[in-house]
Amino acid sequence: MTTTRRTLLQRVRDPADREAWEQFFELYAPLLESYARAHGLSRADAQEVRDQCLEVLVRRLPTFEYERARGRFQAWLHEIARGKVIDLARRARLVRGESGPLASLEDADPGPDQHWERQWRSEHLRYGLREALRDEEDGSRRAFELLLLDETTVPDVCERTGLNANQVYKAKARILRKVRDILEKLGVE
Amino acid sequence: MGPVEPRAADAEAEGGRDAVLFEELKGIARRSEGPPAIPGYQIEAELSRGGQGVVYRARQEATRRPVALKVLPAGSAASARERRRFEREVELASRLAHPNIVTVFDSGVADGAPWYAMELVEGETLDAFVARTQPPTEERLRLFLELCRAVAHAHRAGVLHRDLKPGNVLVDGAGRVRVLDFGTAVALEGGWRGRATAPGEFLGTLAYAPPERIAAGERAPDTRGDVYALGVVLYELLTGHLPFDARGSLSAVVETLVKDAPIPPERFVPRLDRDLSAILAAALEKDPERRTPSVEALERDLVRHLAHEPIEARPRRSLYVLSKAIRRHRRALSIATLVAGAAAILLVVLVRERWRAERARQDAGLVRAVVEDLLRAADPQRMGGDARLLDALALAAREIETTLEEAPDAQAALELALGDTYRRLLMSREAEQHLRAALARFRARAAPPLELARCLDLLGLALTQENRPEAVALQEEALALRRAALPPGDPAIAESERGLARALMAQLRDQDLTRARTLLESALATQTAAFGTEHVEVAETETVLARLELWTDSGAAGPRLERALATFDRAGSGDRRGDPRVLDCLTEYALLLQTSGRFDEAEALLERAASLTERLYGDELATGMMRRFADLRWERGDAAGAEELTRRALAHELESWAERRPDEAEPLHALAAELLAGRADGRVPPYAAAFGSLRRFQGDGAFELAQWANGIALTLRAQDRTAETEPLLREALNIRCRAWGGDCPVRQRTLFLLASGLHEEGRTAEARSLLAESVRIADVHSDGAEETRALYAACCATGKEEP
Repeated sequence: MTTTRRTLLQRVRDPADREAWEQFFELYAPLLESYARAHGLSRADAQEVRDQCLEVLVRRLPTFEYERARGRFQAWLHEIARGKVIDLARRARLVRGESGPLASLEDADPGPDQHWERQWRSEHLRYGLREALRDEEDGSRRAFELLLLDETTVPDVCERTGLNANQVYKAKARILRKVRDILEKLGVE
Repeated sequence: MGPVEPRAADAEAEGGRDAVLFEELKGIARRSEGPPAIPGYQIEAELSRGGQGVVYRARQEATRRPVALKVLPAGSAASARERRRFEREVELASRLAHPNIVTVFDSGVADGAPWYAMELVEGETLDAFVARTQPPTEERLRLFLELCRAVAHAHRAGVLHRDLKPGNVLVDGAGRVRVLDFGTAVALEGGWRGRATAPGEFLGTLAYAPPERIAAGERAPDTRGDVYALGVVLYELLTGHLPFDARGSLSAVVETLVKDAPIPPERFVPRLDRDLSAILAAALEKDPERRTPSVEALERDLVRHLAHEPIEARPRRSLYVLSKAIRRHRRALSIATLVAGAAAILLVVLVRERWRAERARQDAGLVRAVVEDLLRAADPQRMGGDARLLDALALAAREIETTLEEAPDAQAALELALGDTYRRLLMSREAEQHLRAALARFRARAAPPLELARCLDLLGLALTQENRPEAVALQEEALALRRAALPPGDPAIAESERGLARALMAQLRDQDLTRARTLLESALATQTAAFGTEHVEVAETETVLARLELWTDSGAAGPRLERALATFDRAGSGDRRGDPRVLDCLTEYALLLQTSGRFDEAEALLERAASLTERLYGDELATGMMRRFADLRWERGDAAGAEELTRRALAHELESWAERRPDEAEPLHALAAELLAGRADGRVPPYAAAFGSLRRFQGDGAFELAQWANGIALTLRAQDRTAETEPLLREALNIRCRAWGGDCPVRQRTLFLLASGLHEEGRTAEARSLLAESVRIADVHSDGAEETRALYAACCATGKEEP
């Protein structure tokens, strides 16, 4: 985040930016896989969906015009993922004679998709949190993690981390700001 | 004050957004921390929690069986790297199916959190078990061997453990070892727990890490890292201590682990067996190149130790240096050896299956696992450079003792199958060992006569390969049993007749040869009646008969061999692998053509034989073929070329023995090098020393060496180097005398060669006494031996002139 002001999606347009690609996979691979699983695909098929989608992304992202129009990338990726899930589910049905909960997905217009929306957000939050905590000192990271647990109070956190209350509050504010910055760059409000 | 207001409002707004974001993140964290909802499983309790995942006890809804579920929390703790590691862990673990490895049977991702399900093992860790029960050493070794088998199985499947320590090894309620966490980092100690994090525990874990991993960061990890860790576990099992003092600062401990030799185990157990001490030292070598090469090798040594047999592990400093310099001849895994091995393994399977059907109380999983082990070991796709078919066979041999302990019939059948496999690999000693064991079991159980006869027949054939007189008695008994049990004209009787004839021929006595001819003719008649003339059995018998006729100068050998070869060729046209029986036919026929001066035809047949030999046995028999080519060169008058070939063959033979005799490797390699350098730099090659060394190792099989020595002597004579021949010919005489006794006809010719050399040097008296012996043998066999008699007369005359 500090190394460059460009967004992740801008950075991955450069195939040589390996760090960006790694982060990109970190973020989108679990999202795609859990989306496919949520539509009833087996683990193997879900991984297939994930890989096929990532392949499409690798090929097409360098020329993808990202206009900061919020949600555009999300909709685009959703479209790709949805198509792949349908393909794989059809194949599974053909090959194994399985019947799946695919009818809804196939018939519905590619409008709002509850699974997709929810997982998109939670994967991004998870990623943002992880990234924000990455360069933090052990103490502040631990403090923030403890604060996230319902029962812990600031005095508890101070006792367990050796930080004072002021440091804890500062850490919390700093980390939250970082998360928000990361999410904003990814086009997530 | 004015400017402050908007900022405060901003801050408030921002604070509000932060509060929403914070609540959302809390939701994410809560989902990650609490037990996840995993479809198909009911989570019952948390067993352990660590950085590498949380383990729950759960119940599989479909089967109601209790399982252990390992989940990688999806929240902040799990980075993408950890996630990838976790996925790899699942992938690797589900490749392994072994009774001593905890089984992983299901996996998935739930709400962003990857998980897998494995057996829930009720038990305690290896160190806790040993501390509690204080078992005797043999029992400790048995537990350790189970651990070795599990790790060896994983290695064959391409999986390294890399975190072996007593805390990762469970002993279940049935006393069976169960290895946890392949490529993972959760340990069970009286319950699940996370990776050790306290400094003391960290050092405890470090003590099992191979020095190369600690010292140089991570070089490409290999199986020897696991061998090292197993060495530490064994050390601890035997002594109750770690091999290193793991106290002090981290840097001090690291230095100790990387630089210091292990504490001698005798310090803790003064009367520790020396073999065990050597095995520990070899497994704990700092340099992976010098360490026990594989888990299988470690296991093999312990099994040998338990059987009171000599072990392989010993200080190998000189060998280590040499092995760098000299290319190592590995027994090439040819197609034929694999086929033979597969046949033995198939028998293992069949015997096991039959036995299992008869007595259903055998643990089916164990049987399957053993068979899988064997098949995997014999699968060339999975065999690395080091894995060998022979290891699979040795494994089968061990299983005979352990798994089939209560099934003597199955044990006998397996010993027989193994012995026969070794016999077809031309590994006579191993063949003899197993076939003798089978025979003892057959006799003890009063087996049906035909089964006993088959066993006698195979043992007889194995001993015939070594020219052992005992083969005759065995074949006689087999023949008598088959004649009594079968109607006349049964092909099995013909097989016994042929076997007995071979055994007799190996004895090289005239009366035996006459009987051998009668037997072979009877066999040939039976087989022709049963199969017709164009059958490989007929061709095989004709080949043996032709060899006999070659010895006795009968003109029938040529047409016979031609016929046999044509039959083999027709039968084998669709057989890309090649039939080992054709080899005999090719070499005999080549010899016949060679002695009739048809060198080009002979050479063509030898070329065929050489390429078939390589296909069937790798380079194992290459020296024999080189010798045949050398003979041919000699016959063609190219003595120097013949010597060169023989010298190379001899050096090859020495190196192949060096492989098998690590204790003698250094002198054998040195001799081989000297042989190759000799002549080229004008020195006399140390032939006699080379033959002396080989005779020591080959023992009763050394008759081949006599032929070599004889052959080299001939080439040297032809190059006017008669003086060099004396030690060679004396060596040949010794060997032949030991192998066949004083009256052996081949000694006659060697005696003549030696005597004529001595005569040329003017050592007439010595020559005369040797010639007298030679003439005596010629008389015994009614051999004309004109040259010998003439020289003897000359020597006697000289003796009269110079009293």
